[in-house]
Amino acid sequence: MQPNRITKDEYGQSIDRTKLLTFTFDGQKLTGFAGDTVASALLANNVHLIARSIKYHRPRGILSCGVEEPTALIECARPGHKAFPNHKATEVMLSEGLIVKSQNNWPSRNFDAIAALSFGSRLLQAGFYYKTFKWPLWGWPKLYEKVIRKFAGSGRIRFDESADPNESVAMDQRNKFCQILIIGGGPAGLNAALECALQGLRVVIIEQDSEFGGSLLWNKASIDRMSTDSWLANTLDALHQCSNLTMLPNTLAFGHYDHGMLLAYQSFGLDEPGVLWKIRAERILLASGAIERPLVFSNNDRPGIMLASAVRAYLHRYAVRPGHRAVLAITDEKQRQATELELADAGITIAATVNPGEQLIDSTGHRRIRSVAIKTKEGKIVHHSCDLVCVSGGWTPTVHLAAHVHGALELNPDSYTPYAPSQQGCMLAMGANRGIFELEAVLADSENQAKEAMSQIGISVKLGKSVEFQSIQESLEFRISNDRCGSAFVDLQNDVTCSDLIQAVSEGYSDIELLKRYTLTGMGTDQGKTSWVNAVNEIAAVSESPATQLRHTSFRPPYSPVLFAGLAGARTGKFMTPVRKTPLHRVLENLGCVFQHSGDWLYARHFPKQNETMEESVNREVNAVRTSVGFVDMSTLGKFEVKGPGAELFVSRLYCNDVSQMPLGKVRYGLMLREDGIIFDDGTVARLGDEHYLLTATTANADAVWRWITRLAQIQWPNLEVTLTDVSEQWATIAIAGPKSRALLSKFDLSVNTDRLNFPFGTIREGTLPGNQKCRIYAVSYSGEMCFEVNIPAGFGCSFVERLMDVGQEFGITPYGIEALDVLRIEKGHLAVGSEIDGRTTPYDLGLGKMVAKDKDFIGQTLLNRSGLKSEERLQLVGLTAINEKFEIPAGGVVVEQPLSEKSQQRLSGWLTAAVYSPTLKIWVALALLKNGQNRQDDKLWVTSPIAGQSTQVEVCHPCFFDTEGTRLHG
Amino acid sequence: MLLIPCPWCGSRDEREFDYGGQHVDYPELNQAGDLPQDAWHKAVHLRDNSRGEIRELWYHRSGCERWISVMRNTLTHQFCDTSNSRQGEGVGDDDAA
Repeated sequence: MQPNRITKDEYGQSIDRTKLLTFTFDGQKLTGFAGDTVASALLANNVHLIARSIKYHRPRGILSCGVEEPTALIECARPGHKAFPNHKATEVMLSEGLIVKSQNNWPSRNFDAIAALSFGSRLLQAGFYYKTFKWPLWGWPKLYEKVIRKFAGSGRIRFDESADPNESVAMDQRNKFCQILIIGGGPAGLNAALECALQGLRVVIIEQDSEFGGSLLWNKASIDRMSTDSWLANTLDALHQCSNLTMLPNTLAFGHYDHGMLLAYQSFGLDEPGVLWKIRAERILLASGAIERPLVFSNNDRPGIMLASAVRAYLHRYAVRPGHRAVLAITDEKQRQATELELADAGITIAATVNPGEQLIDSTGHRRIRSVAIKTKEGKIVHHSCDLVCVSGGWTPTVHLAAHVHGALELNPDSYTPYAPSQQGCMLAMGANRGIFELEAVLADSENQAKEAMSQIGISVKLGKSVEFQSIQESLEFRISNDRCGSAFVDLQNDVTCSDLIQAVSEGYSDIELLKRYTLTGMGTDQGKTSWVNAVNEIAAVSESPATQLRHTSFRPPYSPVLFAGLAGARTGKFMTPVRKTPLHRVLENLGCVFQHSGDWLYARHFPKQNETMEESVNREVNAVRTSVGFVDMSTLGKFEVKGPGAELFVSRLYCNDVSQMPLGKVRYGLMLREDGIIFDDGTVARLGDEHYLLTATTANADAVWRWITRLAQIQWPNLEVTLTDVSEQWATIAIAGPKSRALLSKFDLSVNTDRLNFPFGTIREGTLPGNQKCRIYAVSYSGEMCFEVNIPAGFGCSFVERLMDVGQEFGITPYGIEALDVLRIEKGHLAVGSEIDGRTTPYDLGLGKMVAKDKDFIGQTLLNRSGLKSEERLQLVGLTAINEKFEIPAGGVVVEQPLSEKSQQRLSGWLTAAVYSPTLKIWVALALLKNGQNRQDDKLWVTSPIAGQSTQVEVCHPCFFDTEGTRLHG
Repeated sequence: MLLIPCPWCGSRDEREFDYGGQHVDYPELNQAGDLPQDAWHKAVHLRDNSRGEIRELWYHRSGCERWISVMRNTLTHQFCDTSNSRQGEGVGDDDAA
């Protein structure tokens, strides 16, 4: 069934042979075991040719056994689910029925038409696209791009007909805090975890693989005369007993941020919701180990050429024998001997071993390696037939996370391998990350670094001596003769060869960041994990400068690809932001309200009766307010209490108009400026007691005004004795507006004298509701009609509205929404934040210059006096009425002197801030900011909307269109 | 993602705060004339943009709702003085280490 599977029980610790799984690869039915990755299952079935390469469509196999995999990219889908491309075969766990497809081939992976390009590969060298397709100018958009797009990219997103197109998986996001966070569950990480967990600290250990053990899963040596297997089993046993330790397998630590913040993504399998962990740790121990490097030689990309450690991992973990006749090219002597022994034990014939002084120079084979050529010490070239080549040019420490935060890495001057500094911020590196590879030394180092980390967070531990270690042997013989460079691949994923690098350097792209982007070395889904050090050494050799001077490119998160869905978490669709509903939401819903999102809020927009259009219902609502009575939900306003001996002075400084010496129960309009004299917000100021004020702020600015006044009180004027309280959410606010509002209010027993003499416009009264609940009633108006804003404790809002509808029946009470409110305020020329108060206008611009106090101190006073802000050339608020009552003023239009014409462009004289049909005046009216507008009364201008292709002649007037004397306010 | 030492609450995640910009001393209110206008212009519009330590304000929105004034190194993100000193108020407990 699985020809390459070893049946002996001592192999295959990661698989469960009792659970047989079936899957397909390009339609071919295959089997594997539970615990297999797609890569191990394919190798067990003797499948080596996995994909075609991105540029030359060369046959590619499986190089590695983990996250570093550059070539074995596959498309995966579970039956009935969407298929996604570019999964690494070494990372996807096998599951029943899995549909696996190869990528980048046409018509099939065994016969690929585009592979013909590899014969002409010299044509596709670095910068090929930049150089070839730059002329003629029309060629790119019309011709080249269309053709190139077909061949470009890696993999295709396919939408399976049977899959649910709306299928989405909501990912989870969790926060975690710990004292010690350990990244990497190899010998160093496990040892450090035990060290810290036994001290009783809160410890988290993250492992990217499904199993803890790291190199111990394939490196069968001994520790303290104990086999690595028993050491691992004992250590894991001990760790499982520590309740203060969290172990996270299948978790990729992909981003390291300031102050001990680490992001990690935990996967639970294909299509399963994963968890994005946000972990804040006092100290982070980096024990992420190292990744083996391949060798660079001619045709080093054939399927069957694998990293030596990966071959050992497939043997021990998955009981898979990737070949039968192997050639070993491993630079480190100890590893070479160990690999030789283990392969022989597993029944693999060793065809040849490349010894020091010898060099692997070429290979043959089409869809699988067939033979290699070795240059002996004497310079003879010997050919060996084989079906497996185990290569290792040394180890590259996985130090990316150490470089994410202001990171500078140390570089080995001989081999250019980057090392993590022993400590940087709160991250301490250990073991292979510091260039320590000997198992005993790694364990000693991890113990030391764990103790160092603990002592830094106040745990008293006895620190050990620093560890002395030897660096491993690494291949320094990188240079191969120039005539063989064209197919000597440095970066297998991006098809970058030595000759590409040589060419890029000769063209002047010798800076490492430029070279990366020009040649694509180190880009893609593997981010150069196996290629980068080889590339830099090649560049150093070509440019004849020491590799250490080349530095390294910036490492940025994510360390390895992470699903966007994981980053978004559950915050998608309606969960993107929380929706705020007012206390009256339920009762308004029952009244047939149509709601509208605005910011976080759901506003009441309008209340259509049966078959009414929005225009009809808005006009009806406006008419009701102008002729009888209506009510609107104003609960979204900001409401802030100011108390204390300094309250009067505080409030006086806050607003540019005079709000001092107000009698108790008085309410005034308040205009708030920024420090630069521009209007910030408007609202009301009410005096409730000697040292007690109540301020309101507009809905849009409620949060900003609160931040602003707390900042003034706490930072600017700390000696002013005031206490601020945000009571915005404690009150439901119902504005009852219209000529009959006073009559309606008097029907309620609020223990407030509601007659005109005792409760005039511009006052506030405190009353009580039945049940002895306090309420506050303002006599203020935004609509221009007599209006009472009743503030009720939020929980009583709905029942009050229900009574209001009952009692108001005889007056024809009409609920109205934000649309009608807007029409009412435009008819009155009242200001709105975002329209007229747009962050650029001053009180003078909006015709409120007379309000600005002259004899008091207030914020914005000094800079409001800048001469430029008083210039006549500034845009000033005016009203516009359509000359002909039938004409519509286009919303969003601009104000010009002449009607719209196709021939001439015109200078703008201003723009509209609001335009509506006024059901009261039966004409279109608009508010506009017009250059020198206050001196242009009665001028005839044009409002045009080039988008709507519409021009309307208008006449400039005062911005208040209705009841200019304001008599209706008093009722 | 910074860990901000709030003198009232201890070290808290940046997500709990709103940024208040550089802590600037504004001139006194009510000073007409050209000279104070210049001082106000500088205080409102000009910032040091330093490479190194700056004193800045943070509003602990999802915490104690206090504005805090702390020194931060813009290069390393190290908070060095968390005494809230410009407020002239007490020194908070500092368990940020």
